[in-house]
Amino acid sequence: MKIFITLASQELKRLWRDSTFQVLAVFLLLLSGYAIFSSTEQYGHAYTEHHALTDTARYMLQHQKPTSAHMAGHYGHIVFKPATFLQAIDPGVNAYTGTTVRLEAHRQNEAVFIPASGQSSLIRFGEFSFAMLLQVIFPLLILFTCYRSIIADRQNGTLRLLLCQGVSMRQLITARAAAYIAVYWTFLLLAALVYGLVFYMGQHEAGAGVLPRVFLLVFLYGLYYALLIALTVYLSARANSPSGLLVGLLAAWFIFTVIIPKTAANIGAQRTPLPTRVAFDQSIADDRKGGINGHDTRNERSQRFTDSVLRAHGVDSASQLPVKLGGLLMQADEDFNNYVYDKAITRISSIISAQNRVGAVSGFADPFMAVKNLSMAIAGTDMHHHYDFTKDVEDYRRVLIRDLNKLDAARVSEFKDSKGKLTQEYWDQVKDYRYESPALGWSLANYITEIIALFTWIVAVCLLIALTSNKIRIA
Amino acid sequence: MLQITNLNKTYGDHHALKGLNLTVNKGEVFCLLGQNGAGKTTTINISLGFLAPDSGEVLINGKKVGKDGNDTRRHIAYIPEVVMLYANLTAVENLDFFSKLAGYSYDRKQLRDFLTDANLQSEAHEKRVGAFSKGMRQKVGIAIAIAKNADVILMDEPTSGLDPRATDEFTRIVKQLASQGKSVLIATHDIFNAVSIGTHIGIMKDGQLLHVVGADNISPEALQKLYLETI
Repeated sequence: MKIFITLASQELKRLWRDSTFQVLAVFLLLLSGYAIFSSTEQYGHAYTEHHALTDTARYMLQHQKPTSAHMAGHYGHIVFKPATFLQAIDPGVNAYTGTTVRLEAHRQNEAVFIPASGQSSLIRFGEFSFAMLLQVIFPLLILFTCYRSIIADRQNGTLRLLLCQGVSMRQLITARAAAYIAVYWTFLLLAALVYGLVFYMGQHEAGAGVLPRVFLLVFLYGLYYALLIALTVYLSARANSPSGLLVGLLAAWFIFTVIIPKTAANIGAQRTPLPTRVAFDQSIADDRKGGINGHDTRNERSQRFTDSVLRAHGVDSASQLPVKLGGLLMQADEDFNNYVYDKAITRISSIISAQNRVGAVSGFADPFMAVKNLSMAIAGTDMHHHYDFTKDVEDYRRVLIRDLNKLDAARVSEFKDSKGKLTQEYWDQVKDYRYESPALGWSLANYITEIIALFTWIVAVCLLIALTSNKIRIA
Repeated sequence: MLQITNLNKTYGDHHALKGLNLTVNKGEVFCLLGQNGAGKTTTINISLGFLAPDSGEVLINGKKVGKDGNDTRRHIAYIPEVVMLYANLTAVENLDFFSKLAGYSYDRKQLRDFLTDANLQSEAHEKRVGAFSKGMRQKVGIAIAIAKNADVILMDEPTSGLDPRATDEFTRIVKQLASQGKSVLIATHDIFNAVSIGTHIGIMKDGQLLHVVGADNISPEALQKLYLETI
């Protein structure tokens, strides 16, 4: 242990005095500062915008012109995906999924107003986020700072002198790796602290459960950097040529961060292709033809539904019913529409899950894939969270429309005026839409494969160092 | 004590060592003479455990140098042809670092004393070694060896490139170490220095130790003649 501490502290001292490392450290701090500033700015903007838009939509809902429940269903409502503190760290797929959903009767609208669509092409395909810094830039700097960690000693001749003092290669690799891990963990913790401070000073709401997720993100990236550092230091001990090693590491970085993620996405899309938007809409339209059309009371299915309602109430005509038939028909139409939508979305979800499985499994070949997916999951910005938001919005829409259909069917209601129009009291009591992210456990449960892949990498690198370090050729 | 018994090593078709036998007892300085490729450095590398022999064995104080050589390296001090140190550390810091790795923790005064014993001028003690000459680095290397208090000292061409004064100082220090009971093995090309520094001189050719003579029994001129006849 004494040797370990001596080696690690000497490496830290050396790094502290190394001008190349000093330049890289300043570069890293500047980049981190910029990433923190820009992402918190973006988050602050999104947060303010979300609150302003939500208030406006609420005002419009409550102050709409007096109208019937049926027309109110068509007019609908607009809800917004909330901006979260964690999306400032890892925006995930948020830049490519919509933030605004129009809720209306008979149809499930997609989220629109995709942040990336309003940006230039350069930003659309590579927005500089803090996650990008953590996932792409930090690893690159790790390679640059660690690749010479032991090969420099081999070149300088100090390696032989070190080993002659009774140091084993395993001790040297682990101690040097520990020194670099300490450095990068300090950067990481410093960034997390500054992030927290900037966020706190911005006086934004963090939301429940954010803190454990932030800790988990720090832990995830800490683990990832430890893995990269240990592997780089080990390779530095094995390599014979620094330039050859650097070229190899840069190639690996490029393959891990660009080639494999793109290839995995392409393989997934080719193996289980999604239908085109037109085909998807057409299949829903075809399925809907088999249901009740609430606006066409004379079609066969509407007639059958009307007959069954009349029979159930033991009356001969709709005017004898205690409720308005139109409202019941609208809800029947809605129920069938919901059934068709659920069926279609289940089909699409299974295709996307199959595509994502390729990405998940590729984590065994590329730890970056596992870390990227886990980071999005912990930040709550992955596709699963987006689907959860979409489902939550749809649940809210169904309740909103069902209540309006109920009012439409009611002959008399406290929320209707003498002309059958909805009063403002009704809108006042309609609950606001509030989306709460699922629990952390739910987020991680979707990524068991990635968790296993990451731990497999860690165990493999530990075993590699433990079992083969002392066999590395010295002379 | 260093004992080498029937050591063989080949690199492909090339026989670097052919049944090498030699012993360096306590207090002895054994100088290995030979041309480049004679097997001197291979002998040192195997003794340090950096290379595995094809057959034969090396014993350090009776303990066999194993596959990774880590156990026996604790009893060996090594001074290469060019002592390379950490350029951004001072002489004292380098010595402190290497001593701690060897399991010794000295205070600043002791560290400076070791450097003084190795003839490094005191004003250089606290300077970063990046700007040191070869001779000055060699002195820090000697200080590291002294501080390690190893029983066996291996040196590979230690006087190569040193000026006469530095070589003379070096000779004095090695003799002092031998007088303290250290076993010293030096691989060198320098016939005259071998005679002045060694107690025993061996001449190697093609991986074989062809002659071993006592330094007291031979003049530099006679050794030179024998060396030229042998190689």
